[in-house]
Amino acid sequence: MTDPDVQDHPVSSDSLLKLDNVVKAFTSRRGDVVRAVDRVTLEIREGESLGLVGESGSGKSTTGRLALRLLSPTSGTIYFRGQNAAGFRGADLLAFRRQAQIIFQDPFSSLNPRMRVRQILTEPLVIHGLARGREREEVMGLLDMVGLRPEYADRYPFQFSGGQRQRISIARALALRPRLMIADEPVSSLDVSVQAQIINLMRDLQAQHRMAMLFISHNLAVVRHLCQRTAVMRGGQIVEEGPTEELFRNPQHEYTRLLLDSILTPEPARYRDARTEDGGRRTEDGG
Amino acid sequence: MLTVSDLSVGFPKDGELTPAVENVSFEVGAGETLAIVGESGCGKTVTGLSLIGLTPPPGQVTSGRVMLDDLDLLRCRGRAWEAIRGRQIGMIFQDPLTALDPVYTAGEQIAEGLRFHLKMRGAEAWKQALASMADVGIPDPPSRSRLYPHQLSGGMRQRVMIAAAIALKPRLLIADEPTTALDVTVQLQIIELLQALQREHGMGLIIITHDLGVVARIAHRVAVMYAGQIVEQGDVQTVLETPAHPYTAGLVAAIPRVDSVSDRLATIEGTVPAPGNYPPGCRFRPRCPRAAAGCELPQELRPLLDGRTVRCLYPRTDRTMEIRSEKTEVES
Repeated sequence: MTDPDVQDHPVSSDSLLKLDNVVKAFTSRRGDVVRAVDRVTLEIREGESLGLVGESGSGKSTTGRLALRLLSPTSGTIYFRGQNAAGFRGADLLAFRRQAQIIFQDPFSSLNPRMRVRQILTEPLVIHGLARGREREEVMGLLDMVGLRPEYADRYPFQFSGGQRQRISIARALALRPRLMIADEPVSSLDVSVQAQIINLMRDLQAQHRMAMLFISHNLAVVRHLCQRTAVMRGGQIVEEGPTEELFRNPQHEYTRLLLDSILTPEPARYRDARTEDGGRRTEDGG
Repeated sequence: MLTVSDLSVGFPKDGELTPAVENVSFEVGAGETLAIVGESGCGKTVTGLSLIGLTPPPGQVTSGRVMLDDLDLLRCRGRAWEAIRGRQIGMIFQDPLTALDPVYTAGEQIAEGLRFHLKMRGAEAWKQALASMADVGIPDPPSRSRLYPHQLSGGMRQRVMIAAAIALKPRLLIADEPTTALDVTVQLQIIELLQALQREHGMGLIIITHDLGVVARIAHRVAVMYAGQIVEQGDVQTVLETPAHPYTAGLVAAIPRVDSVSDRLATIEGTVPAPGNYPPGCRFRPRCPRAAAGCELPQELRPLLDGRTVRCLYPRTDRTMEIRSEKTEVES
């Protein structure tokens, strides 16, 4: 367990993003102050994938938006490559935005319905003045990277399934070759079989591009599959953080254990006692 | 208790009825849990709604029988449903925001059912409503009961709807993705509550879900649906541990496990076909790693020796046959 009051890592040389004692407080209409993010300290190194898990209302999405500077912290500091992100203005801010991209949960509301895929994928390049005159090749390269056919470039978002749209969102985020990808529940709205396709894709892309990733999810199994390190959030605070394998094998915090114990796996034998005791009219011997 | 035979539901399209659910048959006994599983668009929700006469328009039941003991539910009309819905058969809908009435508080919606179906008096109904809210883990029922649906979070709304359904202690409960919107810790609490109702009142349960973890925990039997048809049905342990249909096998293999890590997850190529676009013959054939001669013909559900039924010409009959772990490919 970490104690954010005492902890004070120096920013290491390969640190890409560091949140240092970050607080984000919101005030309700009635005047109550809620600390959605409460003294969070987190560090992501170049090329590393960090899973941020927690239940609804734990503050994990707010943390993601803070990391991307879509929200400003109430107190605390966010460093990107050792520089205070709060100070980014003009060209610095543009450079930061180029290096940090996000994928949202809902692939239906995060793509502009009036743009063709080609425009969706070239818009970031145009904004950042990149790939001028090579847009066509870029679009084809991106589509190929996420496993979509070249002819899809001229279609609109409504012509695609949820999984395909999430591939388009990933391609758009990759267009700028970011150093940091923030993914906020990117597979939660997808069917199981499609979810597996997208998880495999994200795993491949993260490795190929040596891109750092902050993967926000309520699904611990997905995080275990994708992330090298995992942080567990509850009530705005990080309650436990560590290498994924260690954290899952030997959880230290009571809440991490509760979360892990609550996960249901598709193995009926594991729950045989819980099921039959509950009055099932199973007359056959359970195997 | 409930026997469904050859239920089919169609939706009009280009002047014809396109089948969305085809020849679905199953039974649920007292205290028993049947899980209907499948991905979006497979017809599982339409099946559940059709059992209680709520086929979403313009869809209509085109054939089949739904018997609740001796009562033929498909012949039920109008006010006859009032004695069945709620009290005999409860329903938990997938979307609490549309299932709850926006102009009544949470407590009023639960108490209304108690007054109407169980003829409780005002104060008694209100007291029972608060008790049901506590049962589903809603903190501080006296104050939450006075909030309107829009003032509650998604998870809270879901729990209000569950409380309204179980307060009536129905003989059979149809629950459509009852825990999908809930956090894992709350999910377990709801499942245990449903099981307690089964133990105490012998409630039958049909749970409609895509979550095979939930199925493993609660269901005695499972029916796997694909493209409007049941493709495999049997004892939960038989079906999930040694799936015979390649679709079931693919679904089970595609789930990332919390207790083990593999390099790649197995995937099922492509996507679920929409009603009206079902391929001829076996509907899973275009995505099937085992498709071979004969699969271009429609397949019947056939019994296997272990008691399950499966709709496949080449069912997997021993656990050594593995579904190939496919490289991620284009969905088309």
